[in-house]
Amino acid sequence: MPATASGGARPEEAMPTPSASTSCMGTRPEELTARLASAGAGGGEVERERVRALREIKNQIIGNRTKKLLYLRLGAVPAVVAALAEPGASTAALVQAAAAAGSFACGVDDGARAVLDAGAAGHLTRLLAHPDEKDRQIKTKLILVLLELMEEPGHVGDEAPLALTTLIKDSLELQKQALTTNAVEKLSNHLLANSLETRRAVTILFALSELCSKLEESRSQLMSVQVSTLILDALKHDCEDIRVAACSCLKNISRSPKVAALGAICNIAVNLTPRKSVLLHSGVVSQLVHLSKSMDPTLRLKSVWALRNIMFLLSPKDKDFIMKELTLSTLSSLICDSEHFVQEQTLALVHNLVDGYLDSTNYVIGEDGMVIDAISRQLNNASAPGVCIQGMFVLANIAAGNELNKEAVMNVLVPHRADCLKASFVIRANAPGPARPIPAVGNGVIRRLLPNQPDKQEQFNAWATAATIINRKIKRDAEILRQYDDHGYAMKEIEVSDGDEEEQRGDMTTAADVAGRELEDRSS
Amino acid sequence: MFLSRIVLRDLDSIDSPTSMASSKKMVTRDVWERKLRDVKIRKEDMNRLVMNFLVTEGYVDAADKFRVESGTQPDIDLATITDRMEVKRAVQSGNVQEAIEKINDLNPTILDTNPQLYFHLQQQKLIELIRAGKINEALEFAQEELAPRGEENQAFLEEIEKTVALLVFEDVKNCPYGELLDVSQRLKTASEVNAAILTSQSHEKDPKLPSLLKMLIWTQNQLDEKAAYPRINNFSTAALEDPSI
Repeated sequence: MPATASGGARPEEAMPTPSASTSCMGTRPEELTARLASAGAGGGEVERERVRALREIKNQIIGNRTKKLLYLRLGAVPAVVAALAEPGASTAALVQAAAAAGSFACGVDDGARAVLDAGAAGHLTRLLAHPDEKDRQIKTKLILVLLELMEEPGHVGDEAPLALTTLIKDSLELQKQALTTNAVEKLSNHLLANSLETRRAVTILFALSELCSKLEESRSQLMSVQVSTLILDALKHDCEDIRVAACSCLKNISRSPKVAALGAICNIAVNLTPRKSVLLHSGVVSQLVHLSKSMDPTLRLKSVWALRNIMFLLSPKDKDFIMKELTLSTLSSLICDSEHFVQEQTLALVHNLVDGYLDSTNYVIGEDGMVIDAISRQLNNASAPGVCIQGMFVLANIAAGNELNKEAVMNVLVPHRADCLKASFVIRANAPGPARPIPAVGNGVIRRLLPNQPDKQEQFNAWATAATIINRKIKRDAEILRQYDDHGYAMKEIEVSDGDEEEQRGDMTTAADVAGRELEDRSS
Repeated sequence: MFLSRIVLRDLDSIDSPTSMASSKKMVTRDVWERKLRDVKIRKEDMNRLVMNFLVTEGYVDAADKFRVESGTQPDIDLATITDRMEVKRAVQSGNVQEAIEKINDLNPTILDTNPQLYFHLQQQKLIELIRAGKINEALEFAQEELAPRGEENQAFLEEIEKTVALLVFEDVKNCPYGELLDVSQRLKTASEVNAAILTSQSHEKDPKLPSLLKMLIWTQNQLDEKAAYPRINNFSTAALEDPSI
């Protein structure tokens, strides 16, 4: 295959060749040698002159043994070889210098020796290994252009991100370059400012995915609150293309070593019931607690999830250990995290905390009820069903405790102000058909837990049962009953029987256990 | 051509009288044409021959069109042809320096490893200077560039002498060696350049079609000694000419 120098050098070659009026011999060797020796790499015209000189020398010596020897005598070889190592040399200069050096070494022993003596071997090897700076400069400019084009309306703007994806594909170098151009930020902003429903959103997502495939820094940029929320929305989008693109993003985000490590820890914690103390005292807890305060919602989620798994079925002593690290204020703020999936996991963590550990309710109610206040706030405000469910489980467990606990839960469920009555805890269990008008929060929750959706049925029932259990465990007064009646809310008619041995024992069974018993009772 | 060989074979196996003149077998036009019709050749083979010719000779557009119309695949990348054709065109127009620079851009090793080609290009350059009437420059060039070629390689000396001799004569066109000033000389050099580039691209430098014609000529010559038959004398028409008795 020919060693085509035509690739990068072509544009530079479009310079006037010596016309008929100049000497047919070209420039004299002495002059060319002098010109080359004095010129270092520069910009613009200076560099073009250098390239011209190198090219002319090359063209004079190829095939011409006599000229090679002449240039050798003039001492041109060191200057030509030096051009190979010139920092900031243009691609054209490098190409011409390499061809000239090669020619000097061809068929002329003295020439070969001179070229080697001047250090050509090292320079040429280095040229093989390193990417073209010039190419890289060009590609960086191209990235900037593509980012600008993305703002254009129509087909151009739609496809520009795709061109970017192709450009940087698999290239760490170019992804680094893209960082310097703030590509991630620009793409994210565009995505946030516009609808997900478009072709452009799809191509942008793919571009973001590729940008983050190799660099942790890019991934961190992508894991900002707004963007990761957006990506998570995209995952649930109706349009398949968007879901696919979002998956791709997520796949690359999760290449983040932190995220991967957290995932691993989660899994270890789940599986490692007997050996958890080993895990606990390995310092992982403080790390997880630290990460739970991260700016990245993904990191927060994963760390809380890991803590939740660790907390499950732990001994009271170990639970105390974790809570000491975590602190109640952190726990409270996590309950009120900006992301609902973090809230949910935190509540699950609390659930695991109080489960089977009577005194743990002190955590929840203690310190002026910081935690239970947080839970209360969330249940009042939360729109995500998962959060509600987890919150309910926590309350159910607490309410199964002593009077103080019951009281606390009561305050959550039935605060003093009547208008805050949360009928979300009072439901028409298992009844299909239109729900009766219920205040805002409850309405939304119930709508999402429609009974005729089989997978929701289970959730719904657990939730309903948890609510019922609370109502059972807390001895209602008639006053409250009347309030329910006045508002027209139907209630589950369940016999409140005295002396449920389980409660009096203070046995902290899980809500699920009780629910199971409940169902048994009903069917019997 | 195949037919001629078949006939040759037939003739060999026949025991014929010794006389040279009377041992020539006679084949009438009818017989010949009938036998021709029996010989099978494939369309694809012919297409490939045509494509090979177009590509080797450098007819890029024709090759591309032929590719589209016949579905025949070229045996080299048509894009590489353009570069080669630019060089060839430069030589054919008498712009030798431009051609040299283009070859060096394409592949710096070609001229370094083809001393004969390099010499011919320099010779052509001198011829062009003489043609242009730039006698002083021609003299300088001959001294600076052609003489060293002779020093480097004695085989070139004869050619150098011929070319330099042009400088001596007043009426250059009509002097001995005046054919050097012919356009055909340019074409010869251009062809040599073309071949060198093709070889460097690991492609065969000659198209197949001329070889086939040469084979035909040879076969007919062989057959001439043994038979009188409808001959192809005009290769551009390929018309069969009745045998003379």
